[in-house]
Amino acid sequence: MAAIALSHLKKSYPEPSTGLKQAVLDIPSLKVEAGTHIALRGTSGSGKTTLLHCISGMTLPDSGEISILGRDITKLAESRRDRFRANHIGYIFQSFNLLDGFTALENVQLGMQFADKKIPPARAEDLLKRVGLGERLHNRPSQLSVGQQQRVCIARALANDPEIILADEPTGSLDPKTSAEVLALIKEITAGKTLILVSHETEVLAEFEINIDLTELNQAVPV
Amino acid sequence: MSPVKIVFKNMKLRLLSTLLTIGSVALAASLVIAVQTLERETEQGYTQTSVGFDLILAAPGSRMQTTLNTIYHLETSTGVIPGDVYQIALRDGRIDQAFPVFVGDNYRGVRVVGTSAGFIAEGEPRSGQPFQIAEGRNFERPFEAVIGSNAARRLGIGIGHTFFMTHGVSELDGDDIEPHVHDEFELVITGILEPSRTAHDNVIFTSIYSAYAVHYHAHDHDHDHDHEHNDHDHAHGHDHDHDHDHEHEQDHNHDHGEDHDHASHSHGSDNAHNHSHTHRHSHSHHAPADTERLNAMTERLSRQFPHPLSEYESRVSRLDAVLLSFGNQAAALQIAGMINMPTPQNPLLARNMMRDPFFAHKDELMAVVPAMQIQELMSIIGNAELVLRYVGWLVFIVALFGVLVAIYNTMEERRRDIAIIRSLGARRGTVLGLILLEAGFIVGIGCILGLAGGIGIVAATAPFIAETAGIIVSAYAIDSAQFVTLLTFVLLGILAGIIPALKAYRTDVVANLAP
Repeated sequence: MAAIALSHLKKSYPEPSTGLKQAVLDIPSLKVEAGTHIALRGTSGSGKTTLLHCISGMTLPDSGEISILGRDITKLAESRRDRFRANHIGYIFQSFNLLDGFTALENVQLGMQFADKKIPPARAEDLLKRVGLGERLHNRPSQLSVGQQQRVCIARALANDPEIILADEPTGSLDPKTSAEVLALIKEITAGKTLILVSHETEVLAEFEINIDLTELNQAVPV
Repeated sequence: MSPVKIVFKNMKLRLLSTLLTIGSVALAASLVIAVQTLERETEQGYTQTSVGFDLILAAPGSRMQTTLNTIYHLETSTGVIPGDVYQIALRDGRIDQAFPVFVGDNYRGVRVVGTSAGFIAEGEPRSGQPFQIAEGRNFERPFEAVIGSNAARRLGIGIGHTFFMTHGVSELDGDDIEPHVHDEFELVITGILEPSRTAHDNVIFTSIYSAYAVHYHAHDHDHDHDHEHNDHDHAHGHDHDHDHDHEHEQDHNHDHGEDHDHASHSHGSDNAHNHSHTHRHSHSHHAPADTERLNAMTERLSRQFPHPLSEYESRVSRLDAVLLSFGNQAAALQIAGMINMPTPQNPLLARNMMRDPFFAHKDELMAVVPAMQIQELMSIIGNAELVLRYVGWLVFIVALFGVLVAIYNTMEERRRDIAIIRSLGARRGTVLGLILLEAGFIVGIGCILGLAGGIGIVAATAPFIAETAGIIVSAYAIDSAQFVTLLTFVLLGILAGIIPALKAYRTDVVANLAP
């Protein structure tokens, strides 16, 4: 069964200067089987991040279907889509998007309250220990290295034990050594889950058996 | 992590701004709470203290002055009236209770009020609440005295404390550079009253005979003073028409052996004498009882004044006023009308009026209905309080705008945080709720601090009010109306949070997330 199935997905954004809509995504079809790890590559501006936003339900496409775990999220009301995201999708950002005033532990715990699932409170601490931050639970993001911040972001994405993980250039802000460590961690920690990892780095892409070139897949023609 | 924790985290992140906003709300709330408390306490203080009496008979003059002087222990007397008025009142079947009042002296700034023992035994400082003696007993002889709770605390004196009265109703009364001390007449405290939260807590009560005797005694001692206070002439050596035999002359050779310190006018239990004190006090604020001294004084006064107290009271030929209470209000109006209205021309009506036992003193008297005076006073005070209340609310509205602006101004920098929270699955409503909760917390904490501040303001001003307005205000008398006010403030605060909350609600997730 496909964990993610896109059909005739179209997304455009208004051009800031002219106000005219500019097509960003036009994907006839894309299926990601449950439990598979795929890498999505593409040039800058090819719509990689927009695609992840659409899959996560943070933004709606202009048209088309986005079926996640058998459910077309484009048909859901925004609040139900938010809840669906909290329950089933974990998101790893390139720039981490951690809350500055919160500790590593609190950042991980934060997302746990938005899910319907009963998540044991100790899971946040366990996850941080798994990503190697057992000694940094109470450090704020500003007190962590970028690599450590990304580990917090990874732990947070897994807090609600989602079936799907979306990783948007997770190593884009890291040095090569840290990048390799983080990538290995992501692969290890998301084993058994559906992972879509967006990257333009060949070293990262080489780590994945399934590579999809979004530039080829996306038929959007800028207006 | 609970929403409350998220809100507190956010507040902590902007600590200075949050504290300043809470501070402004607290100041405004404390002002409103203080005004509310003072308004209610003032009204209760004035109305409840006055309801015990239906009519005051006093010398013609200002009705307000008479009311304030006799019931609130403020101002001075309008003059003296014949003591016979009190005796007539005692005999008059229309009158339920009659209590004489004679003031003109103080002890260390605390007014000494001469009255009957019945005033303490039967009088009600508040409607339905008679005086309670916390410690000791009522005065039973001339020159015994009971002291109000506040006065005892203020002076730091207790049972057995002896003292001399000083002429004048307050310590710095009139132009006295060296106030005249009635050092021929030593008084002793026999009891301490329970707080009644009325002006009576601020004074010392003694027999009217004691207060009268120090002013109208006929001793042949030298007095160079020419006191005009309260129109009480010092009639030393005058030819009085009262026929008492000067039994009140006190024996100053009592056996305490201590050196009387007339400069301080007191023989406190802390003087040099070495009595073994019996501590039998229930209040920690006033001095412990000096039982030995009390017993010695009682023994001496019993020798000097062997007759019942009422007999000495009947000798009082001049007093300031008589407080009357009636079972039948019509009788009160009848007496008031007879005294205050001119004698009718109609001989039948005039003859009817002349049958009234008070008619003989009609020209020397004025009848005052204290409730009417208090109503008048409250209408004046009420206007000022209304202005203060409006000012308080205005300040609060300004503070609420402060809450709105403070939160709204942070919305720009919070957009990323809101987007992150939403990306984790928080719904728009959740974000809206978090901001409203934050506004509610800021105003709520401000209100709690404001409640404490309001209590503080009232507590700080209470002594001043007691001294100047003659009413005891309780800072801790917070009632449900104030909680309703505070709840209203919190709701208004939450309402003030709606504008920034809507901004948060509309925050676009994707546009505000860093890639």
